[in-house]
Amino acid sequence: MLYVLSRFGMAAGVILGSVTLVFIIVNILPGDVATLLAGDDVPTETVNQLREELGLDRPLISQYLDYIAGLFQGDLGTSYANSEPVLDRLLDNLGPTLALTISSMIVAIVLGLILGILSAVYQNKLLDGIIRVLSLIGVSTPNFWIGILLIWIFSVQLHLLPSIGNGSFEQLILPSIGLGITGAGVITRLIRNSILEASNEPFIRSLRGKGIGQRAILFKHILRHALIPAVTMVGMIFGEMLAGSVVTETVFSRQGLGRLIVDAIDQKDIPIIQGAILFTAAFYVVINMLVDISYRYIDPRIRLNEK
Amino acid sequence: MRTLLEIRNLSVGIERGKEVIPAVRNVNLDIGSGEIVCLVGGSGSGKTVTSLAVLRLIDYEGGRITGGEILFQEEDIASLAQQEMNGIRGRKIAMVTQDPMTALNPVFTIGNQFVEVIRKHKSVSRSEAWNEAIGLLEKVHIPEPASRMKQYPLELSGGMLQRVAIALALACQPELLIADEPTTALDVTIQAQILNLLLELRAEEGMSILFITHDLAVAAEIADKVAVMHEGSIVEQGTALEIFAFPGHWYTKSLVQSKHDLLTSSASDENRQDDEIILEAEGISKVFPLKSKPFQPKKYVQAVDEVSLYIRKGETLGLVGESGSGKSTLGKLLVSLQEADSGQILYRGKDVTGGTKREKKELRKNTQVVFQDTFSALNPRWKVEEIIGEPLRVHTRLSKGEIRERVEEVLQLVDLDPASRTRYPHEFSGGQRQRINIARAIILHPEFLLLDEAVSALDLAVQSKVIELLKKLQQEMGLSYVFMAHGLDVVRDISHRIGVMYLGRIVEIAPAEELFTKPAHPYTKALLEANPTIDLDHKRKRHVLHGEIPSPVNPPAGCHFHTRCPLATEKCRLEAPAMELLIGERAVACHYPLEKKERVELLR
Amino acid sequence: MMIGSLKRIKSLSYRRNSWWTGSLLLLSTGFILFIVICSLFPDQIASHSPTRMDPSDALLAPSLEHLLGTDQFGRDIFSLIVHGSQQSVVIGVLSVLIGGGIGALIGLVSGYCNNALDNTFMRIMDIIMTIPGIMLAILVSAVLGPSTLNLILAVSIASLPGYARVMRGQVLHVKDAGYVHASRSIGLGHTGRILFHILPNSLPPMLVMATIGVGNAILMATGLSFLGLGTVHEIPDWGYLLSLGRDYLTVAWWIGFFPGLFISLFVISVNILGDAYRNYLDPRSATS
Repeated sequence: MLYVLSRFGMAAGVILGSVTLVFIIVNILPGDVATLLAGDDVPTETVNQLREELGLDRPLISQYLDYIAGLFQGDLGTSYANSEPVLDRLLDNLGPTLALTISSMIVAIVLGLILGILSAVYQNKLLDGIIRVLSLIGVSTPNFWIGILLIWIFSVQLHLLPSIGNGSFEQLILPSIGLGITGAGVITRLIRNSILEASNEPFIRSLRGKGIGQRAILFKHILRHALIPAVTMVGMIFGEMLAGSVVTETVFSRQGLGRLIVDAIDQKDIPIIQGAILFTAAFYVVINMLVDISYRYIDPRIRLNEK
Repeated sequence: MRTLLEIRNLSVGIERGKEVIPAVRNVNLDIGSGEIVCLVGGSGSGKTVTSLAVLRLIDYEGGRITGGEILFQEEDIASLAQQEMNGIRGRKIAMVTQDPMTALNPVFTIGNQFVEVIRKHKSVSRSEAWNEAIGLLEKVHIPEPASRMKQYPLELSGGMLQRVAIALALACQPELLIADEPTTALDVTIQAQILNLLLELRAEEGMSILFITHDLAVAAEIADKVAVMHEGSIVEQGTALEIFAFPGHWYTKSLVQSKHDLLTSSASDENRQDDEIILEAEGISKVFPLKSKPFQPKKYVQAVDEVSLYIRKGETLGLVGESGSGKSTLGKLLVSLQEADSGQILYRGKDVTGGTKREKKELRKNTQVVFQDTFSALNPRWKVEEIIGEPLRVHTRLSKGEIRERVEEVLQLVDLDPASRTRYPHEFSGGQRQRINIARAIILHPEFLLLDEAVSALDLAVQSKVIELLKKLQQEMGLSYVFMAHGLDVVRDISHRIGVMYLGRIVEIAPAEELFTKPAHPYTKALLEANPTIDLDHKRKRHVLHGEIPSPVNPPAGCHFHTRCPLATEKCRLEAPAMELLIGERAVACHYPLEKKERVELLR
Repeated sequence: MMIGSLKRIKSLSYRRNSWWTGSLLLLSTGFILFIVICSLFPDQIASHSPTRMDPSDALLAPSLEHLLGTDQFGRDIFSLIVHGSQQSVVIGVLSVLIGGGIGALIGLVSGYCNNALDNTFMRIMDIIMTIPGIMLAILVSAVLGPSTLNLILAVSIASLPGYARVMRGQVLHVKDAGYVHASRSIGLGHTGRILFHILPNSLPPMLVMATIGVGNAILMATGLSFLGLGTVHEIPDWGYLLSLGRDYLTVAWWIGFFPGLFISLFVISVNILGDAYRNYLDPRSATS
């Protein structure tokens, strides 16, 4: 329990750190938001006026403190583009992105697990070779290209699935696969490696020496052992998926946080970008915190080492 | 006596790419029921491969049986399918492996692992299996077996885990137990406990044991019959008496001889050059903080606790002690590789704790270290001449040619070919690598060498040669050594005086021969008794220390040894004894030193 | 004891190079060389001028004249790809040099000191890691405006934590090796130990990571320019070309297909090279 509490504290600290980092990038890097917004050919007075309107003329420290204070009241600022509260816009777009991310995670985990196990079991055989090439392609191929290929094959040529938009389950299939494939490649490699590593553990020899069958050794002992490092990766991959959704949503013209960001880029709507990034960072931190906490229950060694 | 296992002309190959390299050739071995047969040999001799072949586990480890038969209860198991072997492994033939820490799956409780094995071979319910397991744990003398069942392997000490592993092997009353170096990873007092346990179980269960070891003395302690392996073949086999008293084959002879040499020769009486004291420690202590959780008091390990000692010029001080004794830390403090928390280290009478940079560098020049791990001690990317020449480059301004000359000189001194200076560490054997380490340590002509388990990782024959070299160098260069090892015989062989450590304190320090013949501290005596010997006359059911070595995080109050000491009184529990001089150079920290005959008798 | 030697024999017995991993490696090296040559001498390799627009040639399917077809303005896709390679190569290499270099330095200091400074560095790395690379890059280019330099900067910052962590772990490991203790006992100072022992023995895994990092950097950079955050030149880079192709998917698949294929092949080649290097360093991992 103490651990869970301290882990919460750490997570809060890291999120505060992310807020600060984003704030620093936005305000301290040489780029000037007001000039960026106003455009190049605008007289200085107009720029200054705009700066004043946006409150960008105040000292950085007070801007920072105001921003933090706002965060505690659920105020992430207002959008430059349409003066709506940032939080509302983010919440409006969160649902579709989460749906995409979670379904991609499922694709990645299921595919990665099956292929990883097959690859390790048939180590150095033909099937292993094929899976290893596939996973290499998976991790090396940009997911926007996979998305475009999927659209071309399944929508343009075969007319099987809708290529764009969101709402229905069918519309979720192609984007999830497109986004999930990269993760599947990573997980396949990871599972394969950790299974092979686990099967070199000395206790596997002892188990065989006790007459335990190959199948029981694989599914009960090796897999349990091999999945432990994979669980850590789930948190990381979730972050990657969340980030990848920016591109995937653009490819499939889906509503979501990613689209919100891309549109905000065009409109130079910094508060929206800032807010959306904080959202993903917070998600990332929370997921990793949950992974860490659950880890202690999956792997007794972590718990025991602290005693 | 019925023959249980007959190995006939067994050959085993290890697959290496498309080739099959022979690892075991034409091995013949019989094991009668209720018999303990020891397979003895150096590393790479093929003893583990043989045992894996008997279990047919070699098939999973890149090897295969290339010829011969393995008749178990008159059935040839060399040609059985793995499916059928699963009915034999664990039920009729069971195994115990070397390192108990890795022999059990760390993510399952001990109880779960018992239940799995028991239910694999017997049709019993889960709770029946659970109760059966508790009975097995009792049989191997594990205290509070019911609560152990719910623990994870990590929560038990090495000795306890090896008991658990043995209990697990006994689960189905096997007829043959294969034990592959089951005590090698354990401390000597714990090793004695496990050997006694195996003998006891043999008597109770009537099972046969195939015991694999590199240690002749361990074989002498336990074996009915001994087979000596060398380079994949059994070169000689016979009863323990035949092998140890009248070895026939040259390899066996050399093994037995080098073990005897260790016992008969001792440095104690050899000429020590003078009485000048080189290095002295006065009440040094070192504490390590442990990683702790937030909001909880910090815990500390008292690695070294108020230790005082001195080393004379040309003298070897041996340090012995089991895990957690702090001898390694003490060594690092002596050569200032670690800073003592309190106390003083005097080099030639001058305090060197917290000296200036220049003083430290001067000290480094005169005190050198040789470590246990011969491989990691040498930078893998450097040639031998760069490695050995490094001290010269740090401390002198010699030219390249002069350095090369000196390097060739020391290579000769440690009996290596000077031409080997252009080779890389991985091209040498363990013994040769240790010679390279020694060469680097002596190139600056230091006065003091710390030998931290410097020969522990080497095979017996190599070990004795390196010891010989060290003795020779001491004679020629007037070196002083602090020599640490967990093998008592080696320490006895090389040391003039020996200090015995227990949980951070020196409990006894005495001239080597006196310590071995007249130990004054009960712990020293227990250590000596636990030490296996090939002297068959002394083979007996010995007195064995009970209990575990306490954790150095939380050492017992008073005399640290009172929890295991058969002579402990109330005083020992309350008051830590101070180091007191007995006679001459013998000092002991015990309230009741074993100087009087009747107290010694009490121990029997 | 025997277990050790048994394992050694086993690890050597792994086929280090079966014929197809060997030829794959050869092909990858060849492709990387080809792309590097393209980026150095685009004019000599390209079949057409990348800027030549001819409405009568618009949206032509791949043929002998236009190997990979033409886009909506009639530009030759192959020539565009050849000219666009420069951007990818420059971003890939420079961002790895910057990110990897600074990351390695942070890792070295962190791992060697292993104190409060280390703690601070690692917490900062933790914080950077919470923001996925592409998001960080979006933020940086949104604030600084799109330019190749800003893209490199963004990708470098995003890859910093990975390098720093690996280097730190490596240094922590090497720092404890016997030969480092040995040279300390000889009297070698901090600088000597770092320069002669720790650095040379910690770098190889970093080089593996850097090789693979080039691939990741290219993926990230093309992703950004796909989103329109890249540099707007007369000649589009690979990512931007791909995003143009998306709009013509129904009529001209080749515009989107070939740039993506080149990105994939390049990244695959780089990964194969990295894996081969890793296996060379540590034959035991040859199974992975």
